[in-house]
Amino acid sequence: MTHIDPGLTGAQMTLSSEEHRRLAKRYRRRTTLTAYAFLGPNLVAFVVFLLIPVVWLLVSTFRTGGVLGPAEFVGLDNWRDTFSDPLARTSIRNTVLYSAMAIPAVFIIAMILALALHAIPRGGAPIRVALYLPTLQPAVVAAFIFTFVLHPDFGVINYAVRWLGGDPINFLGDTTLALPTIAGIEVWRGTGFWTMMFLAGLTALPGELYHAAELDGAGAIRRFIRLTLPLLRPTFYFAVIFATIVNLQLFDSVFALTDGGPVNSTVSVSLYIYRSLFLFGDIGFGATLSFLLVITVLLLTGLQTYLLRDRK
Amino acid sequence: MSAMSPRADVAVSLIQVAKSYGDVEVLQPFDLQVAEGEFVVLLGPSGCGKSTILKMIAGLEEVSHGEIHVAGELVNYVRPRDRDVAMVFQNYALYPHMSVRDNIAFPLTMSRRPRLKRGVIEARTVTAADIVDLTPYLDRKPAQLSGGQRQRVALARAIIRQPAVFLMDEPLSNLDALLRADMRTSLLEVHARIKKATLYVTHDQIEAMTMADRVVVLNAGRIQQIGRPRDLYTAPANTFVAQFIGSPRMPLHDLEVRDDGILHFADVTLTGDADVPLAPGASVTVGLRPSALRTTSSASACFVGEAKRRDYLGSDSYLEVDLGEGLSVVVRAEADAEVRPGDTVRVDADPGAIHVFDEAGARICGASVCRRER
Repeated sequence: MTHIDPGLTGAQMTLSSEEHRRLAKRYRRRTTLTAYAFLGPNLVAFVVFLLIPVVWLLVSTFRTGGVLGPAEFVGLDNWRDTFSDPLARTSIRNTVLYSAMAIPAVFIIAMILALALHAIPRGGAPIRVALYLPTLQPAVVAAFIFTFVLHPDFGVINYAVRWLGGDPINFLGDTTLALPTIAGIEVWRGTGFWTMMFLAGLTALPGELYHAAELDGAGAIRRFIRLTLPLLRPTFYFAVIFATIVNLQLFDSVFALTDGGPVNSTVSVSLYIYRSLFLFGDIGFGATLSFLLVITVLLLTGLQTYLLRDRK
Repeated sequence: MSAMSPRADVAVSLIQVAKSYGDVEVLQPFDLQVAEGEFVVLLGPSGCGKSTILKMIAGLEEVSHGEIHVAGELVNYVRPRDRDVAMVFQNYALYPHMSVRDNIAFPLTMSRRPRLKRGVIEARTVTAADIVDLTPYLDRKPAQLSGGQRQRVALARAIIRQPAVFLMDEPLSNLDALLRADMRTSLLEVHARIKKATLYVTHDQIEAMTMADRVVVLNAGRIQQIGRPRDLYTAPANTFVAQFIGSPRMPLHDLEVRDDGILHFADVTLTGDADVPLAPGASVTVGLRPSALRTTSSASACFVGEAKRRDYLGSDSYLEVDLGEGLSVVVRAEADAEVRPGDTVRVDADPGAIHVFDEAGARICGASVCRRER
């Protein structure tokens, strides 16, 4: 039953329901158009700089040449070459191995630092700045710094090793040491970033929960395992996927420090793509490897979106 | 035992406890003892230090000065979890990733000495959930519960520990008015059932008055008064308590005692009910409790004035009555009393309506209307 306000009598709707429908439709359309107008520029950038290049990349995987001579359709040749090329397999293996070393290491170190920074009541600011500085270095500068740290003859580490009576270690010239060394440098560069990320996550957790847990008898370690880790899950999902995406594209520190050597022990997928495209001029092969990398990154992004979806 | 040791039937005892952050004193030294089974409410405006007292008892804040004893033991240097206290937080502090069952059981699963068997934990969880009527919700997550249900989970998590003392930090202030009234009743029922000492922080005087055995009124880090709800209402220790307790707020007027020791209020004379007469020439503050003043048609009314404003509350109305000389009182009237601004109103005062405070705000005595001068 309609409730009539007894204080007002005789008030009538001024428009017919037909007119209301028409006006509502126009109103909604205007709102939608405004939204598209603001999305437009981004959409253009997305299409021009991402969608078209990826499609062009996919087309290029079925062709050869195209820079100096005319492009030629070769079917699945590039795909066959990619999967049968031992160096392509090595580059994938190196990249995966590198990620498996660098990501867990940087997360564990950053988590410990974040917990420590979160626990100290004051004086954290200068430490945070110091920790973040390596992240601000371009990889080439970091590589330059580490040349002086790691060099077999005049690097500080080997200076210390010799002083202690040991034989100098050729960090970047040894096939078993080179990849872990590059991973170590990337960990050094990334620690500040991930420490800030985890610290932000920790700061956002409600303090009352920790008071409750303290009263409930949970010690520091159990508070970390039973509360902090599960509560930081969204942060971790983001961190793992994002770090994987970034690390799969490992290029600059390898390029600056070892150029893939010794004996291809540090060739990463990105470096191999760069070589194929710009040194060997093998567009089809480079495009295929690139396309594989893009698809992997897209799949990981999809996984991240799935894991981070709002669950109640 | 030292001379300071509290009696055995005292559950919590705070002796000369004070709190400061650096040079900033947030709590002046005070004493407070809570008996076994007693329900004590800490009442005061925001920032008065009431939550700090709870946190110090819980061990979440360090004590700057003094001693805290829980169940007869000095706990200043005991970790929170070993203090035998359980706390209910304003925002419930439920673990969002755990089910209601796991939330309630958490203190027991964390218990090392003694380490409890799964069956024992489950049985006690079910009992605690039953006390707060949560049995049907044991497998839900906190996000799937209403505010009142969440608060009951927090309560069950406190109950399950069977602590010596319950600490509750504004547990109902996130609930809407109706639910709050219901939860007040449930909390009191639970308290009656388990009969443990409870310290309850609130800024809501209705919660304090309806729930407390005793109320501790705080303002700006100082205890203003400790007493039964009735004492606070009938004999407020000072102007702060007089105005903080009771609704509507008690209006206060600064007056001077005449040289003959008589206190004039508008056109009437007030006589204090204390043995000591009011000092001639002293500055005093007079407050009149609105709910103890009522309109009358009697010619022998205490005050006569002009109605200025009327607040309709449904059950009754309150009139602001101008008595002249810059003085006014607020008076209870019938809900449907036909009074308009400008009407002449006669006012009678019940015993205990009038309070006289000294210059510093401390209560000197009650007063009654001696006679009308005209």
